[in-house]
Amino acid sequence: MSDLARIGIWMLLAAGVMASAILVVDATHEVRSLHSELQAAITAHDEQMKERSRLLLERSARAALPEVEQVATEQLGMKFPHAALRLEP
Amino acid sequence: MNWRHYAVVVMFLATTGWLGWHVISLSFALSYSDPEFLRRQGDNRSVRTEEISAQRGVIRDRWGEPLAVSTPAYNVFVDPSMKIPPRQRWPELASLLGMEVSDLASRFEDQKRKYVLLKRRVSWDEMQSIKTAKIEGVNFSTLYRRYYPAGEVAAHVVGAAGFVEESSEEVGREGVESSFDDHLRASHGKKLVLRNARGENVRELQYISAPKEGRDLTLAVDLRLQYIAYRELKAAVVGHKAEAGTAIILDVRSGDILALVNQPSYNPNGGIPAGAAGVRNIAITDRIEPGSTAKVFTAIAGMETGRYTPESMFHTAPGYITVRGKTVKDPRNYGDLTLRGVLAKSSQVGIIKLALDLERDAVYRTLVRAGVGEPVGSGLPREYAGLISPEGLRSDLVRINFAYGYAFNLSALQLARAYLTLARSGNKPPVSIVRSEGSAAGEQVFDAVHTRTVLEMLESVTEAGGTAHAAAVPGYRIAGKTGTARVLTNGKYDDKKHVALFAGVAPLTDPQLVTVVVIWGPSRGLSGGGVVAAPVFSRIAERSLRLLGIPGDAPAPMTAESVVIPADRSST
Repeated sequence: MSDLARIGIWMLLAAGVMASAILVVDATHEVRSLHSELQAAITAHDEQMKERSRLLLERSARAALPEVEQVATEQLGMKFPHAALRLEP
Repeated sequence: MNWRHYAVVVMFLATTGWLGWHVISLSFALSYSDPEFLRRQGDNRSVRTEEISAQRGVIRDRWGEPLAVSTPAYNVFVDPSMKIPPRQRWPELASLLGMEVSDLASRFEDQKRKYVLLKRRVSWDEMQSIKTAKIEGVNFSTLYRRYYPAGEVAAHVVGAAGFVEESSEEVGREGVESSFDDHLRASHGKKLVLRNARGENVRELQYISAPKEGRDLTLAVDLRLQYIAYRELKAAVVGHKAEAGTAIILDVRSGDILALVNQPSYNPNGGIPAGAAGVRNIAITDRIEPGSTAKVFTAIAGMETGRYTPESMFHTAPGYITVRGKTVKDPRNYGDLTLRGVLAKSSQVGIIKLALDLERDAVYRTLVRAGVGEPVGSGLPREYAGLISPEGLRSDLVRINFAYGYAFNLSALQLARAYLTLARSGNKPPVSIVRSEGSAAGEQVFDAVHTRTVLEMLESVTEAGGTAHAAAVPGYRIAGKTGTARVLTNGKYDDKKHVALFAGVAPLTDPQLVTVVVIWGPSRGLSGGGVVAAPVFSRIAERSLRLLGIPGDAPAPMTAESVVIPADRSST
């Protein structure tokens, strides 16, 4: 093998090493960016779960029978028909 | 530069060289003798196992209203082997966590520990305020805590879940949280993460196990009926200064438990109070002798012989009867009563005469077919199966005791199922706390003609002259039976302590609901089922029937009150 060919191979190998080193750095950077995105997504998920739980509980509190009865009687002036009522057209 | 300076430089270079040589030679030696050593040491300082949280299933009522929800909570922790928060920020951190600085400092003493919990289960808002402060070395892990929106109203059905020791997974302890724990339970996953020097996660290395979310569960109960039953029961237990009470509503078509409430109760949001009254689900765990509510089954046993009809006559004069030396009395001398009258007046003498005229095991067999001694299998934990034995049937005393509801026992839920069987024309269905789809297929244990006849007889109980006219519901035909049982204390019946019962079916024309009310130890002078339990039944049934839109089957009594629909709306 001539010296030129040997130098060529060495340069090719050196270029390969350089390229893979840059790719490793790039891949590491990408992993970290993706990890950071994942963390943000998990935080958003947690926040939405918390919101979902809060809304579920709020709906439940507002739709609870005692609450509905209170609104019906106190705000809307409704009353429970203890005796049957006759509807007169 | 004199020779001293040269000497210092030479010594410095010699020492550095010597140290450097040792470090390099040690590294080489280690990499050959124990190649994993350095990696292990590095990993110990930067690789951690972390939990991936999963959520326990939501428990809902039959219309989707939440009864148990898991809300996110956070554990605040520090990994002293990686990073301790800077000392100058300890006062700020202590104030955010609501603890003393000295307490905080003591937790950082052991710097080899990898997990020091600073505060358990803080809310999202608390977590955010700590996070915003950006204190290095403070970490958070997510977990979920259970919240019960209906609180004490549904406590005995839903139960409660709690954390076991240091685990972050909740385990069902009572109610369906316990009996359906496998269905609801979430298992957290695990992953390996890489942390930087500040203790922050920079990379996820490997998933060790995947998280498994818990599955949701839809119960049979209707939260609205649950509220109604709870309110009325509580008012009665407080009003009569009673020891305890239970009310159960069953759906006739499906056999579903629409409501099951007890007094006393507890708030599961505060955890399960250890050993406190109110935790036990007395509707299914406590035994009762059903007293006169069992007389209907004696009446069925009589009709099954073909020799008795609702109009069969019984001579109850002089108001008492003596069997094998034991005298049993009616409240007064009722004279001649039909079988219908015997049930309406709840005459002991009449029912005893009927029982003594039947085969020895006739009433026993009827009770067993009604489900006494057989677990209901509702899906709630720790059900009492009831106790009835044919062993004493040679004795007339045992026979007559069976006839009016003594010498055997059952749970309130079993009593409700027995009446459900009557309401379903003799078909005994499975009774479930989990919502069932469609109508339940049961086992035919009584002739539909007999159950229909007996229910029609029971209507007279709630009419004027019956023992429970207080159980009547305007606009509806109600069939029901009162019971007042004495309580067995230390092997003897206590004459002063009673259990008041009422079991009813509504509406009679097309049965939809079976309701049972049991009140233990009323102590304000009144103790009869007709005055203590029947009014509770009436109020629960009235509200429930109207809420469910079940049409009335009786001409409603007219009142002076009437509603005039304005002309502009009457045409629509």
